[in-house]
Amino acid sequence: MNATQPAWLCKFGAAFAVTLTICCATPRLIDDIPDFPLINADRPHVRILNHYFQSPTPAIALAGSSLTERLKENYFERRDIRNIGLGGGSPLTGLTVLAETTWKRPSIIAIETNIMLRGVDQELVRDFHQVDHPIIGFAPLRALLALYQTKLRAPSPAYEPRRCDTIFHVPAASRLVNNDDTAKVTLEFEDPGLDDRIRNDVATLKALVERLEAERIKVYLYELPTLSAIEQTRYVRTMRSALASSFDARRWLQLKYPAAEIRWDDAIHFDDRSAIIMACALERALNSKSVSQDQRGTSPDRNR
Amino acid sequence: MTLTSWQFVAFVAITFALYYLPVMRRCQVQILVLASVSFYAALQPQLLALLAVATLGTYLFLRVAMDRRNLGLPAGIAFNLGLLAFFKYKFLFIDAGTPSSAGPGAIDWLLRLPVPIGISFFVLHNISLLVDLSKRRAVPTTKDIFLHILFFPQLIAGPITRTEDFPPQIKTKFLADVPLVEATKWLVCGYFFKLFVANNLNQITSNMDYPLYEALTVKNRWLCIFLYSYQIYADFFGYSAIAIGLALLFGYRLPTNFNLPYISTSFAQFWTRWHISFSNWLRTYLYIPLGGNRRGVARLYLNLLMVMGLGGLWNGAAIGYLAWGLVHGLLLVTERPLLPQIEALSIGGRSRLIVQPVRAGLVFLLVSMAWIIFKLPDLQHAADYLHGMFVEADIQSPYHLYHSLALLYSLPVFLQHVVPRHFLERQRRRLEPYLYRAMATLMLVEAGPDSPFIYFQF
Repeated sequence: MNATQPAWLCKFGAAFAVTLTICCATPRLIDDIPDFPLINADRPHVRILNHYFQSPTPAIALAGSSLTERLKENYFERRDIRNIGLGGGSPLTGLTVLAETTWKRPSIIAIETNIMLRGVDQELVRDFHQVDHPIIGFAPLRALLALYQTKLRAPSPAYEPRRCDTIFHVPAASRLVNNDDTAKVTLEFEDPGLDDRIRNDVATLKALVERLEAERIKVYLYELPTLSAIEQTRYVRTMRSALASSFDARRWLQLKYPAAEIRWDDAIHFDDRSAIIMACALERALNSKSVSQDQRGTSPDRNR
Repeated sequence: MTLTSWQFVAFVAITFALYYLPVMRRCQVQILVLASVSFYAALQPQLLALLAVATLGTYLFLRVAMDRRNLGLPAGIAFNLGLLAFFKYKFLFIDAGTPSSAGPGAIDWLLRLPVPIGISFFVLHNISLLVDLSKRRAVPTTKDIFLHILFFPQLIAGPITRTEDFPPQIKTKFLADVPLVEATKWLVCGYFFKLFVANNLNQITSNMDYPLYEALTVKNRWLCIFLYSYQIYADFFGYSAIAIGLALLFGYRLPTNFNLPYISTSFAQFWTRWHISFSNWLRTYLYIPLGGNRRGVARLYLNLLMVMGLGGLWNGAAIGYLAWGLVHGLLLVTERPLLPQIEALSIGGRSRLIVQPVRAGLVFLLVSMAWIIFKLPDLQHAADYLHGMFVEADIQSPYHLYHSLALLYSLPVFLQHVVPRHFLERQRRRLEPYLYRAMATLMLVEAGPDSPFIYFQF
C-alpha cells in the first residue's frame, strides 16, 4: 500500500463520519427544516397538503372541507394549528392522509363534519403516501434552496393580537344570500339518494377515528354553522343522526359564537369576518378540551 | 439487488473479504466467477440460464475456432447475434402484454421473457473474445475466459474490455497492492454522480415522458433537454466510475468510458469521448471490417451511417433508437467535409478563444436535441415534444420547474467539464479528502429517489 494512502483514507473517513453524523442528527434536533413540496403540482388540494408537510409537526390539525379552509391559520392565536381543509373535497381525504403519514403526526385532530358525502380521494391519498417518507438526513443544499424559495414567496399575513375582540368592531356585511343559490342547494340536499353516501362516509369516519385513537391521537369533531334553510334539509338531518349514533357527545367541540354576527358569501360558505369569529370559537373550544399546557409549550412553533 | 443498494455493498464486502483471504488465494478467479453469477442471479434469476448458455456456447465455439477459425468464428458470432436478436429484438414484432397464439406454452414463455439485463454488453464482449482469441495460439484457461465474460463490475453495462487488456491482468492479487485511495475516489465519484446528480435530475426529466411533457412550457422543454443530457451523462459516467472502482478493489483496471464529452468541438470528437469502449468496439469490429475510409468517400459515408444506425439499434429495440443512431451518423457525415475549414478558423489565439466555445456549444446543443429521440423512442412523441419546443401550447396546469434545483443538480457535471484539470492543483490535492467527503455525504443525504441505471435496460 502506498505510504500516503492511510493518511488520505483517515482524513476522508473521519471527515465523512463527522458530517454524516451532523446531517443525521439535525432532523432529530430541528423540526423546522425548510424543504420543497412533496408533490410538484399546482392543484389546490396538493398545495394545501404540501403546506402541511412542509411545516413543523403541529399540535393540532384541522381536517375539513371548504368551510374549514376558510379558517385561515393566521386567524388562530395558536401557531401550532395546521389547516387541511380541502375546498371542494372531503374532510375524510385530509384525515386519511394524516392517518397514513408516518412522520408528521399531530397530537390532536379536529374534524369538520359538515360535508359527509364525498368519500375519500384515493388518488390524492396514494400520491402523498408514495412520497411520504420521514426525513432521515439533513439535506443542507436542498434546505438552503427551499429557504430561498420560501423567501421568494410573499410572507404569510401576521397574526393580529386581540383579533377575536376587534373583529366585532368591524360592522357585519349587510348583503343577503342569493335565494336562487340557496334554493338550488336545498333541493340538492333533499335528495334521498344522498343517504347511502352519508352512511358510507360516517362509517369511514368512524373507522378512521378508531384507528387514529388506537395510535394515541386525540380526535374531536365539530360542525360549522350553515344557513337555517340548509339546516332543515334531509341531508343535514340524516348526517347528524348518523353521526350521533356513531359518536358520543364528549367527542364534540362546542363552538360558542354570536350566531347573529355570521354572514354568508353563498348558501354554504360564511364570509371572512365570520370565518375569524368561527376560528376564535373553534380555538376556545379546543383549548377548553384540555389541550394541556405542556403540549403547547413544547411545540417549537408555539411562539413563532 | 441493485448497485445502489445496501445489499450490494454487503455483497461486495463479503466477496472482497473472501477474495483476499490467504487460504483462498488460489481460487480468486473462481470466487469472482461465482460472485458474478450470484450477482446476476440476484438481478434476474429467471434468466441466469441464458447467461450460462451464452457463456458456455461462446466458450465451445471458441474451442472450435481454435482449430477451424473459418467455422468456429462465424458460428460463434451468429450464435451470439442470434441470442441478441431473439431476446432483444423480438419485441419489435411481438407485444409482451397481449395474449398470444404462439402455440405450445414453452415457446410462448420464451417469447415473453423480458430483455435479459446487460445482454447487449455481454454479447459484444463475447464477439470480441471470439474474434481476438481465435487469432492467437495461446488461449487463456477456461476459468479466465469465464471471468473475462462474467466479471460482475462490467457484466451489466461495461466498460467493454478488449481481449488484449483484461486477460493479461488475471493473476494472483494481494491486498497490499490494492490502490484503495484511487478505488475510493472512483466509487465516491460514481455514486455521487448517480445518486445526487442523475437521480435528482430524473425527478425533473421524468416530466419529458409521454403524456407528462404536455404540461411543459416551451422554456421548460428546452431546459429539460439540457438537464436530460446532464442526467444521462451522470447516470452512465456514474455507473462506469463505480465499475472501475469495484474492479480496482479486486485488482483489475478497466478502461475509462468517458472523457468530458460535452466539451467536444466536433461530433467525431464527441464519439471519442462518449462511451469510449463502445465506440472503440464499433470501430474495431464493424467500421474497419466494413472498409472504414479506405474505399472512397461514398463508401465512407455509407459506413458511418451504417455503423451509427446499428449502434443506435444496439441501444434498444425501437425505431427511435435506430433514428437516434442515424441522426448521429448524419451529423458525422455532414461535418466531415467541413472539418478542415472549421479547424482552419480555430487556428490563432484570439479566434480560437471564440470559435472553440461556439463549436462546443453547437455540438452540445445538437447532441442534446438528439437525446429527445433517445428519451422518447416513439417517434410521434418525440415529434410532439420537438414541436412544443417552438410553439407554446395552452397549458391548464403547467409543471413548475424549480430552476434552483435544476441548477444545483446540474452544477457538478458543468463544473467537471469546464474547470481545467490543473486549476489550483496544489490546493485541490490538499483539500481532496474533504472534497470527496462532501461528495460522499451529499450522495447519501441528498440522494434523489431511486431510479434504475438508464443503460441497464440495454
